[in-house]
Amino acid sequence: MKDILLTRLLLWKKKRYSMLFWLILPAALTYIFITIATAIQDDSKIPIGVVIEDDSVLADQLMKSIQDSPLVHVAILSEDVAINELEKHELDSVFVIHKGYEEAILNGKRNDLISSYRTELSLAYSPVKEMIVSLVQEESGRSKAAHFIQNMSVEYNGSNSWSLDEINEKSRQVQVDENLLNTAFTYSEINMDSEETSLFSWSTWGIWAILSLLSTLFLTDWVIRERQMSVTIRYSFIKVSRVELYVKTLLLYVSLFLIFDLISLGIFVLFMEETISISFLFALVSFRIMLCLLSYSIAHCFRKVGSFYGFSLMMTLVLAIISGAVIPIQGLVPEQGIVSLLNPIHAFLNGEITFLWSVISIVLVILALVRKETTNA
Amino acid sequence: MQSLKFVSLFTKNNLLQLRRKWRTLPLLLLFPFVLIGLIAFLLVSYTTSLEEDPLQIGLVDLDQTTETEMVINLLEESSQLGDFLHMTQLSKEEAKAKMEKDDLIAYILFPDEFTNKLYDGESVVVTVVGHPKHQLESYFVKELIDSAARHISSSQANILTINYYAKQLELESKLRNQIVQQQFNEFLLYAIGKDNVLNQNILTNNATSSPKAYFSLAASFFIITVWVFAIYLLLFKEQSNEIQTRIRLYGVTELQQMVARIIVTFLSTLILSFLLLIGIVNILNLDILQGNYGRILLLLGLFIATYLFVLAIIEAMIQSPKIRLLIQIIITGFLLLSSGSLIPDMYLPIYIQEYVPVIFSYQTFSWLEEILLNERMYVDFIPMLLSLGVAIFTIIGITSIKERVTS
Repeated sequence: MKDILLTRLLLWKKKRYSMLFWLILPAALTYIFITIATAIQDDSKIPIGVVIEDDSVLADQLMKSIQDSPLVHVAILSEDVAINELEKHELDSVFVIHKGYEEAILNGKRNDLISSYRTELSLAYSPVKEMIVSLVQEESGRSKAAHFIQNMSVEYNGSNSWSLDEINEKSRQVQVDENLLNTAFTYSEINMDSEETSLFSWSTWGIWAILSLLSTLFLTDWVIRERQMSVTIRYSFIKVSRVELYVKTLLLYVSLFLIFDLISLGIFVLFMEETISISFLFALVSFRIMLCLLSYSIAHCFRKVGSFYGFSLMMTLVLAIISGAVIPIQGLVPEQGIVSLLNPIHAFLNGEITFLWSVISIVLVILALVRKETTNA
Repeated sequence: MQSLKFVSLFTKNNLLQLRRKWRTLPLLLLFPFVLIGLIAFLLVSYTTSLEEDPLQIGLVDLDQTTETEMVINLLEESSQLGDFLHMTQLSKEEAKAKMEKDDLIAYILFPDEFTNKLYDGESVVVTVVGHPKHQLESYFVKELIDSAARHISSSQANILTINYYAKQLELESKLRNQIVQQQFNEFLLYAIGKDNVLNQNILTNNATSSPKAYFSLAASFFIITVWVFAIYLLLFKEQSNEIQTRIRLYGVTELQQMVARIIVTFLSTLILSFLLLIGIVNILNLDILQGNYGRILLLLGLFIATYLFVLAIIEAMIQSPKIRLLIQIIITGFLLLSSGSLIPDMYLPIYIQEYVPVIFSYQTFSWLEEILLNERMYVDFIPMLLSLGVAIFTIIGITSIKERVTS
């Protein structure tokens, strides 16, 4: 074992920069990717067009509150231009504040105050619509209440004691003063201990898993390189059997990868506020062992490094899609079914121990080694 | 003259190589279809499973007053919170049991004294309890409840105002309570009917807004890009140092070998992608105006050529085949993202939108969209020609510097 370690160390030392690059890559690229993706997501706004037909204080107010929303980027346009831009897909949707908006609100009417236009490609229409409707509704509800109070005052008091403005002011004050209705969000107590994670936390490990797959495959190219003629001749002259050599080298690689997995774990815990648990550590270790063994058995099928790289890339892309790392919708990939069974990284993404694919990989490695032994005998 | 001879020699050699790899070629060409098919399969099975069995949400009423009952009945009956949600009233124990059996993704808890507190102007907390395994969906429910809560809280402010003025009028408390309760109901209905504010229109009359056409075009753009990448890589041959030196001694430069590969890849993918686009046009029954076939061919040609030169630049700059592959795939991903075919560019942040038009993949995709979907008769080729020019000069520059360093 010691000899094998020493010879490996010689090799690793020679290729240290390339080795380090590929070992650190999954963690580093995950970090960069998530940082950029969240920055873009935070800065993304939905482009909408607003057409103001009503030249009044209330319409202006409404427009200002729409502009204040972090959700949208507002362009104020004429109706023709807005519709034209919508048709060219330069706007997500268009909202027209009709003439007589203020008058209708003050009279306590609210139907069809605003028209909205969208196309079938308006992906973000409904949150924008909800926001604008709630703004209008707030204003019209307030004036509905004011009208009711005035009527009430006339009915029971005989005279109209308060002006509309006065009542509106009061109503606004009430709403600001008392933070009236709040919503809270908790998770049910079941399974809380191990899965207390934030909304997108699994995607950190999801992206990491995909990148690790790629880097492990790429680093396993030693299997192909060391099967070239110039190297194989020397195998006949070494003390250990070839199976032993391969098994021990694999062990060395697994431990090297595990060291760097711990470093990535540290990075994620420190910088990305990931939580870890004992069961997760087991999942990680089993995932890593499976990755190394699987990469080894795949590499065994190739004679040329170039086609191995190509295949690795294709395999990574397919797995990235079927494990849902590309489209961040949770529950997109069904938990059971043939797709998840065929996916080696599915168990890890679910926080489970990779059992099925570890067994498959071990069988594949044994097959590869045995075949080698018999053909050489 | 000599250099042209070398290029044509290597081009012939590459064509031979491509013919010899006839078994892997169809597999490679099918690969992007497999990727898109997988994505489509996942999305379709996800939405159909949602339609077949909508997300189940429980409503738990701990208050048990006429008002909460009314709210809950309304929530149960109305589909205003989306078609994919189904709400049922449950007791707290039932909700918990169902949650454990994975039958509910969330339940909404109306607390004790909900109504009384609402009338008195004390703050009330409606709790959404989500299933830990369905984080995204429960979060989605929370968003919907938040929007409902905004409506309720603004109506509540109005009710409190009415209550305040009723007190000022010194109405007797029985009458006042009656008025307030009546107003509560009225404002609840008012909140439920919120969509009456809007007169909603969908523009569907032109073909341009059909998602089918848009996504087919986006998918074919993706397929074309993957084809170019795959065939270019397929033609790449690892040569040992000895052979490289021997080739160099004949006076063949790296650039000449690259150009030979670019020519073969360019011709084969141009034909394939033009056929693909014609197929798409026929399947979708799009109108192609006179002269636009030529424009499409020219656009595709410029895109493929520029993209190939970009790949060649990376190849010339990076020695390690693994890192080279990684950078090439990252750049390809970047080009696809900025083309607007994956995410329409209008949803990107403004500071990115300003720079995106500089990128040739954006130019290609947006002009293809104009020609195929908007029936335009004009394409501005100048930005793309500029990109191509820059790419050609860069590759010539880099290879000649390398040549000088190695010799």
